[in-house]
Amino acid sequence: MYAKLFTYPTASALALAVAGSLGAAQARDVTWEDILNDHETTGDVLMYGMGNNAQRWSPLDQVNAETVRHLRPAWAFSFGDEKQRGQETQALVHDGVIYITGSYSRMWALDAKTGERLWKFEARLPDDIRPCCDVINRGAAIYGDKVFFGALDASIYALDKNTGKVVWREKFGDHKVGYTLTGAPTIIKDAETDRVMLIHGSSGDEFGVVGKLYARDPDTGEEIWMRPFVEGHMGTLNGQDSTTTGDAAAPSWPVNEDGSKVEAWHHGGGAPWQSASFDPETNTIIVGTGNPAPWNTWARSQGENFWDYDSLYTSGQAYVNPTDGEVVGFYQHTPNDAWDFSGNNEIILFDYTDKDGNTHRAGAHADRNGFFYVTDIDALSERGTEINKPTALLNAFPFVDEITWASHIDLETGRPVEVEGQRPPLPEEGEARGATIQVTPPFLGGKNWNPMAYSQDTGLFYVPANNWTEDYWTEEVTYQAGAAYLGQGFRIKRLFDDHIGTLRAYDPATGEKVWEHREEFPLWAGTLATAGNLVFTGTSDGFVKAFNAETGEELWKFQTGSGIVSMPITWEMDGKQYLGIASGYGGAVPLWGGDMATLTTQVSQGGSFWVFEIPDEVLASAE
Amino acid sequence: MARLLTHLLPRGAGAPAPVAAGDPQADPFDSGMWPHHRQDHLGDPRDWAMDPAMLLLAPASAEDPAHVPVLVDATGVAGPVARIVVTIDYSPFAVGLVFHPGRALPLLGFGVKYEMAGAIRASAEVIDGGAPPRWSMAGAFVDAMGGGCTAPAATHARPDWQEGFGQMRGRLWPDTGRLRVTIRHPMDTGLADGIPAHHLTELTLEDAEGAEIARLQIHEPLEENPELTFLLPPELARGPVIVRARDNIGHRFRGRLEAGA
Repeated sequence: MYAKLFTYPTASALALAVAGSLGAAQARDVTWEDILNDHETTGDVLMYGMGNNAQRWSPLDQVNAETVRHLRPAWAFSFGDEKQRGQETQALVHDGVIYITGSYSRMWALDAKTGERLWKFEARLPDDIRPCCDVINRGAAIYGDKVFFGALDASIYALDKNTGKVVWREKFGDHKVGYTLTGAPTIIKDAETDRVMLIHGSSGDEFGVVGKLYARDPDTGEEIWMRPFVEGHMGTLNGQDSTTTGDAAAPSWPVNEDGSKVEAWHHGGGAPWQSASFDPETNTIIVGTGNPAPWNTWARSQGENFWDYDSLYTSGQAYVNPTDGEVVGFYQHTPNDAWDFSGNNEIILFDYTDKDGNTHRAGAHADRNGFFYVTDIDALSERGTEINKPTALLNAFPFVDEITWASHIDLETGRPVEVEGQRPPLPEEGEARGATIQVTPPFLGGKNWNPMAYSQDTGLFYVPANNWTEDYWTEEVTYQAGAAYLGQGFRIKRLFDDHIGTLRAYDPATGEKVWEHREEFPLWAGTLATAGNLVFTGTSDGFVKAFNAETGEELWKFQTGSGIVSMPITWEMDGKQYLGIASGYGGAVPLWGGDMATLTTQVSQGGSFWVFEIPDEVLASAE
Repeated sequence: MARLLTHLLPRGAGAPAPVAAGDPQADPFDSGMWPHHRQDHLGDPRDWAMDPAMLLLAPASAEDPAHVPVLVDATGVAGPVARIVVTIDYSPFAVGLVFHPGRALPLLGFGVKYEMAGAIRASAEVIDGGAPPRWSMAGAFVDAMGGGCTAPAATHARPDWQEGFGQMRGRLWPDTGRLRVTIRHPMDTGLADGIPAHHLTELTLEDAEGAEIARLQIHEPLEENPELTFLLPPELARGPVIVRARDNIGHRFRGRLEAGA
C-alpha cells in the first residue's frame, strides 16, 4: 500500500517537464475545455470550488492518510502591507502560477514552485466602502489571458494574467449605499449562444440593497444581463429592461394601505454574494440568494401574517438560464426569513443515491439555518414551469445541535415546520426594542460561507459547522441609504462550554453523522476532500489540519501564525502533490461574534499563503 | 523653426539649460544616474548630445516638492521629434513621462513631484527618414527639500477625495494653439504608507474624427491633479479636441475641448 501510493505517473511527469520548457516562452491561455474539466484535472485549479460542480474534491493521493505526517512547508508568501485583515480566499493554479486574492481588494501572481512574486495588483478603494463583514475577498476566476476579481467598491476587474495590468474595470453598484463584491466570479459557457460569460453577484443585504446577479463578456466587461432577486424587480438584457423576476405584482411581499408595496420591497436583499455553480447538462447557473432586507420579519409581513409572504426570491437557491438571465427554478430554504439565514452557501452538484436506491442529479447545501438540503437539480432547472418549486426536495436533515427555530423540514411540502415563538416579536407599545428570545443557530449560521467538500470515494459531505446560539430582539426600522437596515439586535452566545466549531461528516441519504471533530474556536475555513482518504481544513487559531476522511481522526496539523479562514486547494506539479492555503484572521466572527470576543482576541492578525509538500528525500526513500 | 514660447518665460530668453562647453556628451550635472538612465530608458543610444536647441525650464529651487513646474520645448530641434522622454535623476521612479507629440508641436508643460534634489532631463528622439535615431538632450538642476513622492497626496487629507475625482478642466486658444488641461487625480505613487499606487498611465488628444493628435505615457512622478500644456498647429487649434485618459486601476476619463473665447 505504502509503496503504491508513492508511485509516480512517469508518463505525465515527463509530459509536464516538456510543457514547462515550452511554457516559459509563451504563457498558456485558459480555454473553456480547461474550465469544464477542472474538477478532473490535477495539474491546475481554475475555479472557486475546484470545478463547476463545486465539490472541492481532488483525485490526487500522493498525500494520503499514510503519508500526510510527512507534509512540510515548501514555501510561504507574505501579503505584506499594513493591512492584515481576513484572508477568506481560495487560490487558483494555472501553468505553474498561483493567483491569489487578499483583503482590501488585492491580488498576486506567484511562481507555484518557488513562491516568488510575479506581480501584485492593489485596487485603490474609496474611504466610504461598506462591507458588512470585513474587507475580505474570496478569490478570482481565470479565462483566456485574464484573471477576474471583485473589489469592495462594487466593481469588478479583469487583469492581464501575465502582467497584472488592468484590462478593464466595471463599476456595477453604488458602494455608498452598500453594494460591494467579495465573492469569486464564475466562468460559464452558455450552450444556447455558445458564449463564454463571467458571472458575479454583489453583497449588501445588511444595507438594504437589491441583490443582483450579472453576466458579462469576459473580454470587454460589457454587461450581458442582470437579474435582481427580489420578486417583481426588473432585470436587464443587452442593456435594455428585460423582464421582472417572477410575478411583476410581487405577491410574496406585502402592501401598504394604499396598495403600494411596503418599503422593504424596495430594498429587499437577496444578494447572491457567494459563487455560482454551473450545470452544463441542463445549461443552468445555480446560485444561493441572500437574506431578505430588513432582517425584521414584520417589515415583510402583512400584519401578523408572515406565512403568506415568503419574501421571494431571498434565502434560497436560484436556477438561472444563462442565455437571458431568467430565473427558471427556485427552492427556498427559509421562507420569510426572520433570522438572517441567508441562503447563499455553496450548492455542490453530485450524483445522489437515495435510501431506496434511486439515483438523482442533485444539489447539496448546508444552510445557515442548520439544515442540510439535497435538491433535485433536474426538476429545479426545468424550463417553462412555476419558478418556485418547494417540492423539488430530495432530503433534508439537521447538521448542527439543538436547532430551535424549526423542528424539521417537511419532505412532502418542502417547507420548514417552524417552532412557535421563534420569530423575534415586535416591541410592545412604548418600547424601543422587542422582547429577547433565544434562537439556534444564530445568524452566523450552523455553517456560514466557508464551503464544505464532497468525497467521491466515501460519498460523505464534510461540513465545517458551528454549534452556537444567540439572543435576538426586534428594533424599529426605517431605511436610510448607507446605514444598516436590520430592524433587529443580536448577541451571539456559546451553546457548549468545550467547543463551537464542529467538523462533521454526513451521509446525504440517511442524514447520519458519520464522525465529528470539535474545535474550541468557530470554524470559518473551507474544506477539501482528496482520494488520499483525507479531509483538509484550517482553524481560527491558526492550524491547517488533515483528517482521515473515513474516521475523522486528526492525522496532521501545522501552525501558520494567524487564524485560517480560507479554502485549501491541492494540485500536482512535476509529479508532486502540493497543498496550498492562506492564513490571516478576520471575517464576520471577530466583528459580530459577541461572546466569541474572548476567543478571537487571542488570534494574531496576518496575511500569507502557505504551500506544503512531502520533501523529495522522503519521496525518494519510499520508492 | 524658431522656439515658440520659452523666450517669454524667466530664464527663457538668454540662458538656456546648461550645456558643457566642448564635449556635447559631457554631463553638466555630473550625475551618477545619467548613464544608467540612458541605458535603461533610452535604449543606450550612441548618437546623443546635449543640444542648446532643446530647452527644459524648471525652477532652480522647488518651492513645493509636490508641484515642480517644467516646460520642455523641442520645437527648435532640427528634424522631426518622435518622442520626448522625461527622466528625473534621483527620483524613486526614473521616468516621469514619455510624450509622443504626433501631430502636436514637440512642446509640453507639466508638473512633477520631487523626492530629492537633482537633475530633471528631457531627451528628444529625432527620427528623420531612414537615418538612425538621434537624441537631443536638455536638463536642469532642481534643488528641493524633497519628499514629494513619498508624502500622501494632499487630497487624502479629506475623507471625500473621490468626490470630483477624474474631473477635467481645460481650454484651447485657437490664436496661439495652446491647449491646457487639468485632471483631478491623486497620482498616488504607492510609496505613501497605506495608500496603493493609483496614477494616470496614459492620456491622448484626439481630433473630432477620433484620430490621435498626441499621446502621453504617464508615470508616478507626475504631480497630483496634473496640469498639462500642449501646443497645436493652427488647423488643429480650431478644435474640438477630445482628451482621453486612463489610470493604472482601470478608471477611464474623457473630456472635450472647444476652441475658447
